[in-house]
Amino acid sequence: MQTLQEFGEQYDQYFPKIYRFLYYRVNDKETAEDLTGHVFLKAVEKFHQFSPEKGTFSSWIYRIARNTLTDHYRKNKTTLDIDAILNLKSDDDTQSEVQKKMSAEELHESLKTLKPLQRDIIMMRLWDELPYAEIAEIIGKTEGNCKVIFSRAVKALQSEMATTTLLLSLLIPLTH
Amino acid sequence: MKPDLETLLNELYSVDPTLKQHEKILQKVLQDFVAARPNVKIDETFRTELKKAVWKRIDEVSEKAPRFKWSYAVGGVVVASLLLVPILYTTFPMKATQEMNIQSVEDKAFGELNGLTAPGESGADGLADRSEGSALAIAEDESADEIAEDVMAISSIAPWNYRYVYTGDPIELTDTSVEVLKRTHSESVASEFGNAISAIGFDLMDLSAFGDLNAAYITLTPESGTSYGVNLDFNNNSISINYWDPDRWEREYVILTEADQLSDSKVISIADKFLNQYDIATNLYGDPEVVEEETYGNWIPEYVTVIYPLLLNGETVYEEYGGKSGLSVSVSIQYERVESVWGIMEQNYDSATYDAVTDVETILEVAEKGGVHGYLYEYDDVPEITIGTPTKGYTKMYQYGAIAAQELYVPALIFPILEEVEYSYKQFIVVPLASDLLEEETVEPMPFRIMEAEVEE
Repeated sequence: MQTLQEFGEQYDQYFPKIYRFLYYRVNDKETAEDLTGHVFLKAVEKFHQFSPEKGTFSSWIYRIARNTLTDHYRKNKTTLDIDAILNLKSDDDTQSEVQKKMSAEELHESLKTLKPLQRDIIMMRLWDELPYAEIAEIIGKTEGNCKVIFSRAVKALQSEMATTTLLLSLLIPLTH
Repeated sequence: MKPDLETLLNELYSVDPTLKQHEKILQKVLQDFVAARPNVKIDETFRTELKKAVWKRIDEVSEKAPRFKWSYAVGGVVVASLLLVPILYTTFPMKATQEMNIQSVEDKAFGELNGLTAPGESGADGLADRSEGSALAIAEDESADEIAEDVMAISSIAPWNYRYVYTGDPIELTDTSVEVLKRTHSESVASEFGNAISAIGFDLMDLSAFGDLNAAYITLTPESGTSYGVNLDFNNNSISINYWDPDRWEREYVILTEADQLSDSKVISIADKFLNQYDIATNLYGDPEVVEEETYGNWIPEYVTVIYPLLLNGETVYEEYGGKSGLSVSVSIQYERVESVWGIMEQNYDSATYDAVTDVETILEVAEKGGVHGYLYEYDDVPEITIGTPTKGYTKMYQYGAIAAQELYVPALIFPILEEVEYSYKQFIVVPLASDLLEEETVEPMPFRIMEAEVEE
């Protein structure tokens, strides 16, 4: 992408990606809209700084989104709220929902044990569906480094969840 | 392309084949995580409204973009002056918010780190300006002699060598690499500005005959009276601001007393008001703090510095000597006004991976000496100062090249000094985490060579 006009023409392609990226991390429609507006207007103003030789336009605009999010957390003195994002407050207690809720709770507890960068990379790979090459450009690490961080994070989750599953398998028969 | 479960698993196995034995749990982890993704419903009205706003902004930005090519053909003072406005606007944006861009580059792209040094002078953050002004002013007053005697007296009794003893929690070092940042700036701006301004020749000569000229520094002074002047530094695309008072040295110098001192909150409010008034962005900086001054006897400093510490990846940046680094505002106590502002600059960085130090003992040895460039002279009576559990931060260091120094920001552990030290306002010991820098530290400095007396034969 070379010109601002081209950027404008590709707005529809990037809007849903950036909006979702922000929504997943703030879990609030109004805030996600505010931040999305900020990202796109900032991208227009800073477009002269974008250099295709240094990376793709996609990773450049995701980087703006990530910086905007960091600023948002900083200004509001908050961080990624795992409870809110995984939306654990379900009132439906049917058996399948109980199991679903247990899965979410397991995941929630396991996620708490991860470092912020590990969570960040997991979310970018699994929720934003970004390739490693792009994640690397966005967070300023090498592709190999991102893969290793992802792998260690998943291994940590697997280890946590294996323990929880074992405990649950022992507990569930007692509840029926 | 959306990654399927098989692709994700294969990616994991390619990094760590032992994971394959836990395939079922891994599948569950990945599926649970994907299933937990929130459902997003996009508001089409918002999408359309934002699209309109984006196009409107594109039109505005396109209209004010600088067009250099035709200026060379037309030439002349008027055209050059018109050009300077958009160049300045796009190069030195003074806005209520500022953006930080960090670009990944190759591993160890900045070369060996073991030649990095701390800034020789504190002028980079404005502290030198304050002390210089104060010293000059004092020197013209008779009572300065008395103060100078105080300084000398204190210097002769103040200990100059401490052993920093760690008393915090056990330190865990889990990372095997660190991301070192290097500040970057657009070099083309200096060239564009130089070319644009060379159209001005005051009717004396044709400056463009010198070919491509780069601008290095530009100073803009107020038209008349006392006000603020602005310095544009094209070597690192930064701005500094100074109060401009041509009669400064003719004004009667007043020695300040305890009663003249301003509270920290008052000093910070003066600095905040100034930055707001001139739309200087502070969104990339932490909460402002008044820098504690060394005081000598009864001398009250004429200027107090407020530092807005720079935040990189959410962590505070420190100078190697332990002070916080960032946007620096000097406030005159006597006149209750801002005297100078330093450190307004572009926040663009390259980021490269370096090996991290993984041995806690090495870090504590460096901390014991007061940092990478500290040195502990092994006398029996070295006073011991306790330091506590460190936090993570960055330390600013300099890499000197043929033309200009490059600013590098190295992840570091910041140890708080837990006790008040007489005659010293050092609050933190900074130990960088890049292993290159600590390897250098293991080489002891050469002792002074004592000349042996010639033996008469």
